[in-house]
Amino acid sequence: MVPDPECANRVAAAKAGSEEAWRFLIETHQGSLIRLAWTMTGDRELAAELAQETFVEAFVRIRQLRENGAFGAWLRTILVRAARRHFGRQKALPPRETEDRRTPEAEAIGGELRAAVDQALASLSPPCREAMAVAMAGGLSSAGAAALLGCSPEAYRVRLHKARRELRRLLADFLQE
Amino acid sequence: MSAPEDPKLDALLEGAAPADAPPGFADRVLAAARLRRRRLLLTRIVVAVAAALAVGASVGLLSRPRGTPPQAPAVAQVEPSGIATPAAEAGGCAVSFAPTEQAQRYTIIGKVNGTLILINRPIGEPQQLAEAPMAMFGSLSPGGEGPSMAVRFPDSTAEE
Repeated sequence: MVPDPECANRVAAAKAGSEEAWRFLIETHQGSLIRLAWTMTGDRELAAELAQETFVEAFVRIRQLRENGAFGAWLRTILVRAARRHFGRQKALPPRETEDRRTPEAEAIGGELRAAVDQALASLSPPCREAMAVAMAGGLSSAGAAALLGCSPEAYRVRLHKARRELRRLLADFLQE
Repeated sequence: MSAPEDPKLDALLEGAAPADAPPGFADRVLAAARLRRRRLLLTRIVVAVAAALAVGASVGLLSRPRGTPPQAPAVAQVEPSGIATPAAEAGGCAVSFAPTEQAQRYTIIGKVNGTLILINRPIGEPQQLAEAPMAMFGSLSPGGEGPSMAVRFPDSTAEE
């Protein structure tokens, strides 16, 4: 991914304690980060929570970031870890009902599609969901995505292939329209 | 990307993805970040204070003399009954004051288990010591000059 000079400058200002720089960085990256979190969870509310947790962690650890231009990739790494921690904690809890995930937003126009996609993503195994999320976020080669997920490029490709196959099966009705 | 792509599926997922962050997201993030930073700062302060206290306590313990006897009592603060002579043969005794011709008693200062003991032994009446010992106990307390110890005997003459 090509580092954004403006973003790098803002990261330098954020390291110096500028809250305005932080606001810029949050507003620049919040959309992509929430989408990535949503693909990793299939849950819109949880995605926003994980994105917030990611920004907060970045806020307190910003001085550990060596290359200011790699801020976006660094955020994704933090998010992947946060999602894994979340699902690690969730293992001890009973699975939530699918209906619980439906929000008023999902009930509006297009709500059926959103609910179906949410459900399809949530039904994937975590490794497949992570691979799908990183692929959807874009900007990374197979090697880069594999490095982010801590697996080999081959494993990443296999997981992504499985994820796409499963999503095509689960969303077949919508794909035929 | 070398994995097989599916434009239709990707478009479907993109269309279903959250459009943007919830309203006020940046404000919430900044508020939560400030709170987290304050908590971290407080935690660091507490840890630093605890570490400083632990170091201070360790230094205090290490600097305390161990295995060496306390300093001899400040004999000058005790009014002797006679001439002071070393009492090496008296186990545990620091100083023994031999009687003078006019004196009516021995005065022996000793230390037992860290407690200073003053023994007034009447001359020529050893049996009285067994029947009615005239020993008095004094307390050791930190003196005003370095490690020396002051000895206080509350109204010792009244005991005689």
